Amino acid sequence: MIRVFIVDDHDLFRVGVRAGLGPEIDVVGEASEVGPAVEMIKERVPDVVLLDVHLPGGGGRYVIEGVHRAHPQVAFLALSASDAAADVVGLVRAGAAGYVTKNISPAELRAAIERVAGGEPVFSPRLAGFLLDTFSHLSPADPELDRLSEREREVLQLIARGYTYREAAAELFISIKTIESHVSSVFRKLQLSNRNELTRWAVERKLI
Amino acid sequence: MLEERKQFGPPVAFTIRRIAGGARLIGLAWMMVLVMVALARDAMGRPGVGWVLVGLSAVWAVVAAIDQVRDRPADPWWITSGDAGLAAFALVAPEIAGSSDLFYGGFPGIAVVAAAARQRSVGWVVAALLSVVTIARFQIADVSQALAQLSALVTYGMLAAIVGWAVHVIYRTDDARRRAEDQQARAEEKATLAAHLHDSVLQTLALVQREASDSTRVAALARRQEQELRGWLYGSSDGQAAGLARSLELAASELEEAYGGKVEVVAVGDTPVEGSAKAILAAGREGMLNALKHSGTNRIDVYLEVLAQNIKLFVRDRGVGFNRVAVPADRAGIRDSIEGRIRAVGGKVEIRSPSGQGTELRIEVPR
Repeated sequence: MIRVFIVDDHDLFRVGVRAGLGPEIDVVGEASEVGPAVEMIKERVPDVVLLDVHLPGGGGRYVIEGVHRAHPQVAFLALSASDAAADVVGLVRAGAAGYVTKNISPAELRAAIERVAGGEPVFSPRLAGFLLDTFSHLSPADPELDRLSEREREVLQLIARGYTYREAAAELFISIKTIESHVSSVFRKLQLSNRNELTRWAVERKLI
Repeated sequence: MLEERKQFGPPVAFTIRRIAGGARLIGLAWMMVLVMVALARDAMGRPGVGWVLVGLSAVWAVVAAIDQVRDRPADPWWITSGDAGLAAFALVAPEIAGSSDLFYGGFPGIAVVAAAARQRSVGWVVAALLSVVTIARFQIADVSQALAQLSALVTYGMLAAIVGWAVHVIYRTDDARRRAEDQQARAEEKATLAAHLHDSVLQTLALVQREASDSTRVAALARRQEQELRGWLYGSSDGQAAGLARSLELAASELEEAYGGKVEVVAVGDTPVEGSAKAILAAGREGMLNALKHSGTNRIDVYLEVLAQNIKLFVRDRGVGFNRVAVPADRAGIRDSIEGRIRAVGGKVEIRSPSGQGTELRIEVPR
């Protein structure tokens, strides 16, 4: 049974998520603010944390930063009603393993939780779009930067076009495992990539 | 690092400071001319003092003028102190120089004006200081100059009073005016917001109540309203035309509302809706419409990518697939609305429909 912790400042939303998760997922706790969330997650060590992007007391990324070092095995799945690229990319950079929008269906959410709990990133077409956008705005002149390989770009584009991993694999004549490894590598590059570049990217678009 | 930080203050403060600065320069020039005249007439026992005063005045004129260029709402302390110090020195200079001419002209008065323009009380302080200096000199001085000095005393007081009061009134009026404007602007903003919410959200809520039984329709209405509100809150303001990405999203939500279903638009990059972008928008709309109407599914993925050289658009569904041959010849949708438009701008269209895997429309146009 997957143990899930919900962090969201909207009570009704937490209730709704809890109800939609069904019996095969164990909700071990809820929090509505950064401070208490970090405390309780450290104490209960769930498999997956459903994390709202915007929280009182700082963004969701502070929760990840507060927990990640002590408990790197806790996976974070970002949930957001916001479509602001910088917010979402910020969470992924901090270590979230995926991003889904709040209008996701309960079945899709369950599937996403299972993927994240299994150590796989969860990609929505929208997140793939955000990431392509992010990487396309990194300066090509900077040698420190890990840029996307042609294959990684292709994979991201297919996901942005609504392809599943299986469909993308068929399209590119490679295995699903290879697709998964490309996706993980994109996440890794993003999490390691130069903070200044991303900040500048966000500043240029007036996102922060 | 070169950082020019503008200090805050009402616009009128900057104007007042500029006027005071101009007056200061006139006063300094006036004083320099008088000193030169006294020097030329050999009216000074010690002409060195006159030269010192001219030099100080020139330096001070340059320094004050340079500071004037920096946009401040008020003179800094060192400018006011400098004015007062130089004025005090100018007042006693004729005495020290052993001059029969009083060559300070209007500068002490203008120092009072500049101080009063800064703040009423500061004006009084400088006026009092210069009066003390004048009185101190008054007791030692030649009686023939007494009248001029007495009138100077009165002048400082009057200048401090009049300028201080005038500036005070100007500030108060300006403040009241801006407060009224602020209030009006806020009221207008509130009215615009109310009007917008009424036209959009309240209308949608009314529709939702009326059609509460039709869940697909309610979901589509809610989704469209959400996108519209999001665009209004975070997107481009009404003045600017929406870009290609936003236009595509709007087209998608219109179609969602009209036909039911969910169209997920993902866009990377953006461009104004002109030329080939216009064609791809129209063709993309047609593609989404076809998918919603004929594919048999209600979930469509749309991906837009704006690159340096070209624009790519993908419309994908997982429906029944599409067989070109089976489409009646009189149906012009694909041929005219999509291929015709795209060919006209030098682009290409590909429709892929492997059996059992839905359909993907791929469009690419040069920018």
